[in-house]
Amino acid sequence: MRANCWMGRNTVQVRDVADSQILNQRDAIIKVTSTAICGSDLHLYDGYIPTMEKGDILGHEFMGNVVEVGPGVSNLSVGDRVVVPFPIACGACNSCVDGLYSLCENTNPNAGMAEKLWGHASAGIFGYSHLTGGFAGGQAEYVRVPFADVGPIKIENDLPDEKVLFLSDIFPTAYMGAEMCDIRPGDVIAVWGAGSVGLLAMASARLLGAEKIIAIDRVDFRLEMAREKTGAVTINYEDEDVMAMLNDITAGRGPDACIDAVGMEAHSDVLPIQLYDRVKQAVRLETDRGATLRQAIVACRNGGTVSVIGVYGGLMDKFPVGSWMNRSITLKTGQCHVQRYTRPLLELIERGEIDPSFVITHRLPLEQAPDGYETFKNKEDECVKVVLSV
Amino acid sequence: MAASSAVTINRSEQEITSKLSQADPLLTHDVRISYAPAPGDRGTEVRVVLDQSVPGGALGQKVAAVVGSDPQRQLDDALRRFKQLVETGEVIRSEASPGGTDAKQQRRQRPAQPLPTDQ
Repeated sequence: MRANCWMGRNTVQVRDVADSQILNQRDAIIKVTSTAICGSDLHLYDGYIPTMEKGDILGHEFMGNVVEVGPGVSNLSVGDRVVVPFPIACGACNSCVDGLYSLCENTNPNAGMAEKLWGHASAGIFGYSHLTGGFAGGQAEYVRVPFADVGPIKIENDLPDEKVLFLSDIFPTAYMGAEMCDIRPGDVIAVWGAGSVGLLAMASARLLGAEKIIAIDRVDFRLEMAREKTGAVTINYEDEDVMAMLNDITAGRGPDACIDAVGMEAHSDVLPIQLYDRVKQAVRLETDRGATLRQAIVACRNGGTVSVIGVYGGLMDKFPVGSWMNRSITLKTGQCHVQRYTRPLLELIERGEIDPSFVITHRLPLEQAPDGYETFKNKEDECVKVVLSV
Repeated sequence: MAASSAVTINRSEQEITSKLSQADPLLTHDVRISYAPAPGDRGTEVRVVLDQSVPGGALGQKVAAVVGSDPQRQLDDALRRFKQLVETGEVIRSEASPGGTDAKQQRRQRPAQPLPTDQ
């Protein structure tokens, strides 16, 4: 079969690989129909996530049709159309029972590797380094899905792929980011990053009753999308003073909650901070650039919440611990517990309350995945989200 | 040097001990296993102590740790695999770690793509 493989920093290739096969009794094989490139795939592409191996099949946002099920799967049949959550979860351990699916205790065969870096391990993830298990990803013709009786959600309507594909990651991730803000009537929510997750977090904050949404980015076409699609007020941090603008919009209070939808490759408009982080990251003294998270904490109102859904991998410097502690800021975060959200969010889509496909700007065949990565990385051609058809 | 490891399994002691015969041989020989109810209705705490020394003293231990053959890692792996077996019915395999959790294999990962033949 054909699959998009990581071949080294800034290089992916669509190659011939062996066909997917059942390895565990509760596996299913899915024939992929649509798969997307995630902003977090760019962290792999850029070489900032350790433990990648040449030949790893990428992709953790995918959907398709079941073509084979293992003997332990009784709730899926050949021909079922499913969307697959990116974290692999067993459904039986204490974390899964508590709904913390991305912290499943059983699905990462390389948990020992993750424990060295993080103290405790998190769940296995499709196509996302060996630290999260070394599972082949879904940017391929076929993919093996472990615990297929737990994660995949059946799509039993005729909604097109584009409307439901993002239940695999970015819509639940964005929704969880907004939910962690505990939005109350009148709340002002600021979102750093107007990529697809940021945009969907803005739309989710709207659904959850936010009074006002503020989008912060440096790319004009993304800010325009935020204004048009989510009704956000926008700040281009390269042209405007973010703190002054936020204080003006909120009459000095600061946003009630701040969402970091950027993560480890943040940019800063303050040149010394940007240079400091770039240099330390380049020489591997710091794995994660922290400009967004620092600013989100400092900007947040006293007693407010900072919700982190952008991906971080290791360590960052200059955490504003004093601002965080003295001003009673609550910091919430996590890889999304997607399995918790697929059903209710599918219902929102079915009722027409949201159509997450508004973020799609590029549609390409799988064979052109390398072009998709380049265009997305460089934000060329007003790229926000690339969907690959298989 | 004695190695010890502990894990919480979301099952009763009785269910856990009934699966012990399917565990790695390491867990059925030369180990002391103790069980205690996990607080908060979270199943059972399983603690294992292994009395086995590595030849070659401190250097031998370091070498063994690097190649993944020291008793501590083997015990950690065996307990992880046992937890998977009890909670999910089998040991989870990935394309990069088709043998499941194994510290030795973590240093020799194959790419995360399907295995060439039925393995």
